[in-house]
Amino acid sequence: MFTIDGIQYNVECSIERTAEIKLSDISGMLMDGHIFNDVLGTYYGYEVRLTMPLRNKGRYGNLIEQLTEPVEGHTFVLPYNNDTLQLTGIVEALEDVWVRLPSGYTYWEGLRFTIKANGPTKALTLGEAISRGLTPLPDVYDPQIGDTYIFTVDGWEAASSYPDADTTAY
Amino acid sequence: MFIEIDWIESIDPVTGEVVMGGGEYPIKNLQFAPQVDLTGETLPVNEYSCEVITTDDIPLDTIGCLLYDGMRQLWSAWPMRKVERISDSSFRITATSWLYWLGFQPMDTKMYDGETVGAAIAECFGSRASLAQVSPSIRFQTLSGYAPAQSARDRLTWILFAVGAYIVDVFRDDMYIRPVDNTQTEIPYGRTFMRPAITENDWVTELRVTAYTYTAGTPLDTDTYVTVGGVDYIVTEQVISLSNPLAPADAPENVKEYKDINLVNDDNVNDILNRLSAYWFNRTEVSLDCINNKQYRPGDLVLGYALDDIAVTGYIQEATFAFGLQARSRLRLIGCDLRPTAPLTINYLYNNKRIGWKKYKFPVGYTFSLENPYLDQTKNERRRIYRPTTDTVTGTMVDGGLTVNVNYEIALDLYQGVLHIISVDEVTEESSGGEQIGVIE
Repeated sequence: MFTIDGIQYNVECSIERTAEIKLSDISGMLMDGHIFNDVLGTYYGYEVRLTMPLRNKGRYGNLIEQLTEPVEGHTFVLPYNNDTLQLTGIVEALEDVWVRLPSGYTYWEGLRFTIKANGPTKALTLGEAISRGLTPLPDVYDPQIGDTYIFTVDGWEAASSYPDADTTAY
Repeated sequence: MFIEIDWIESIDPVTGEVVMGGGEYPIKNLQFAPQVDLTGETLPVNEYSCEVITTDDIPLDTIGCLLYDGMRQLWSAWPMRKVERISDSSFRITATSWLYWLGFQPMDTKMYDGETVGAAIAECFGSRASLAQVSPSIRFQTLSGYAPAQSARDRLTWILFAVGAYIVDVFRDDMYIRPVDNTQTEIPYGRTFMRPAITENDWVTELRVTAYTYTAGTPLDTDTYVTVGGVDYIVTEQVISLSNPLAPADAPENVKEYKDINLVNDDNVNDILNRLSAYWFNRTEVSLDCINNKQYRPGDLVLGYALDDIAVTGYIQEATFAFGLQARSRLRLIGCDLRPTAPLTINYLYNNKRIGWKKYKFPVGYTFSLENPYLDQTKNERRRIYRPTTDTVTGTMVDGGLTVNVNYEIALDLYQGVLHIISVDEVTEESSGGEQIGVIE
């Protein structure tokens, strides 16, 4: 099942997913031997294969017309882990096969097309890239030695005592 | 990177209501290579070009044209000089420093006699004087000498040469006129890309600068004189020279001469010679690539690395940028001094146990002052932030290298969702009215 520009297709299909972590051209080897990777983001690609031909020829034709529109991108909703992912992407390649049976009945089968995302699904901002942050600590005002904070479902909360027996370790 | 362009779409002739056009647009293929000429011989006009992705019609006559990075930090605020549509959805624009327009602004003959640098520069900028911000260290210096009828840019070049200043017109929305700052900024070894290029130019064996004196009076036939406002001034010239002590005795004579810059006089000629010697007497130029998110700018004095074991100090004459998410630039350094490096190891100790270390390379003889970082470490799901007991570590590099120890104490301890404060820094006042712990970098 997938959606293109708001139109949902409940069809039997297999969907293959690829991910590419793209680097910009400014990446390269530093003098200390490390490689500087300027990560632009994670770009997903999908290949959709219809495993059964669509019976509704009109609907099939509409799908093909939609996929072959010469536009910069379509909005797709595709499977993603246990959820779906909405991405804007271009149909890079499309192929299908025309079949004529001895009875004279004709249909199209074997449709497959690849989608390449126009933008990254995951990307750091410039600020994040410059200074990679660790997981945030609580905002602590008027700190006092011995103060203790506990992380709960509601976030950080001040605690009256320090329950860890290891305090004597330091 | 993106660009913000604003223009007036229309003005209602009756109500006077102004309809603005424009907005923020993505760009690509940005060509950006700002430069300065620290010798003062020329006044480079910086510009950039890029493709602006939009179907809007961008007019040439815009109110603002601002180039920003992803953190919305300004890179340039130069006006547009060219705009051409290259496809249905993109334009190519060229934005050029205000200095370009000064080249079309004529200035009359003038005899400077104690006029301040600030006033003289404001005069060059004319109606755009508010653009020119002059460093207080040179604003009240005075000028003396003759200037012929010339463009405002040529006049500005002479003024800057006379006082040893240059113009910073990138990364800000004005033009900052300042003397060279000899504060050295380090480009770390681990931020420098492989294969810097070292160029050995011919030795400049001598610098010669001509100083001028103008005396009001009636010139004889043999005198050189100029006339300003109906008054004749007799011109006397004196050539002051400085030999290059670094040039070998057998180096072929190569004299770099500065003459016909009539704002050079007895008072400033020695300063000018000394300044020029910093660029001309070291004959080495180094070009290196580094990660440069605006930290290193044309005109800065930097300490970088030319080879694995050779450090270089030099002035950035030009910075050519390439953009990804971050920015990389090729810096062309002039007046370079090359020195061997030695390793510096800093051990971070907690209860005499090493919890971290950093290694540096610095030139022998270099006095370093490094901030001791907070160490944020997670081990066996226990996160601790260690605080240095001293803010900085200082020393002077010696041949063979140096090892220094810095003591740490625990500031924060986080284990199984429980955060414990072990030690705190001095509490600082926050603008929000609260006080914030200063233990996290």
